[in-house]
Amino acid sequence: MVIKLKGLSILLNAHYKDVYRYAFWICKNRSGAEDLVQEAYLQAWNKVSTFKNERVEKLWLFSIVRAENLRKSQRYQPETVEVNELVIQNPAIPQADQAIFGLIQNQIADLDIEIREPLVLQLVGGFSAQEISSILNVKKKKVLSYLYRARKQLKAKLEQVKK
Amino acid sequence: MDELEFQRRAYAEPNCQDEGFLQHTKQSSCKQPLLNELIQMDNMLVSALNIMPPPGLMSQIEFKQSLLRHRLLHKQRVKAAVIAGVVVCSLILLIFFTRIF
Repeated sequence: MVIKLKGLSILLNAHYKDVYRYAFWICKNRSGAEDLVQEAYLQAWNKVSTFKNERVEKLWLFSIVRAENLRKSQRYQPETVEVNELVIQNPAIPQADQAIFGLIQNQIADLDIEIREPLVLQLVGGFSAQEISSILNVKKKKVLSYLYRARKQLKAKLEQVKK
Repeated sequence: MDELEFQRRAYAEPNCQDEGFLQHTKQSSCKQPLLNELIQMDNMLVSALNIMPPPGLMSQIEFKQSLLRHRLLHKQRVKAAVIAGVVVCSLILLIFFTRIF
């Protein structure tokens, strides 16, 4: 029990911010993301016996969030929020850059979930293409193609905005 | 590595550390600007993606976990109490019947 609690506490402290970010960017809903994170950690608490490899545990935690989101989205489609508001919640972004980051956030949110999800996993979770393929349950080649499409679209959109 | 392959790799993984990819970038100087541009875009994307979770989220998770732990302990105690009760009753019945017969 003590080992389990210690392991979970490490998991919680180390990754809850990234897990929340991933949850938000796949469901685009703040309260939905909170529910997903809480549910993921509760499931982790129920299933985990010992913690050996932090990387594997992180991968597993993200997989739980994904599975839970899929399960929930089959039941109902929650209302999504205006992503633009969220920039206020990031104190790391200077005041002068808030508008441009809000714009980038909207462009990310507008991407198809199919290409948005691997991009978020790569940039927020820091996962490799191989790891993303195991979370999404698709081939690595497909993941690379999704990532290519996501950046290509974002680059084109951002260039349009600059003009 | 041809041009198309380079483009695919650069867009999919701008920070790719693959030997062949890095060498290809070094060899042709015209590739570096695109790669730099993509790395710069990635930095902006990371900043935009890094939204802050609500302040009370961690304590909420900890609270729910402690509640779950409490429930589990309670269940275990009830189970132990039921088993102890059954054992005591069986012993009483055993003593009772051995005295009668």
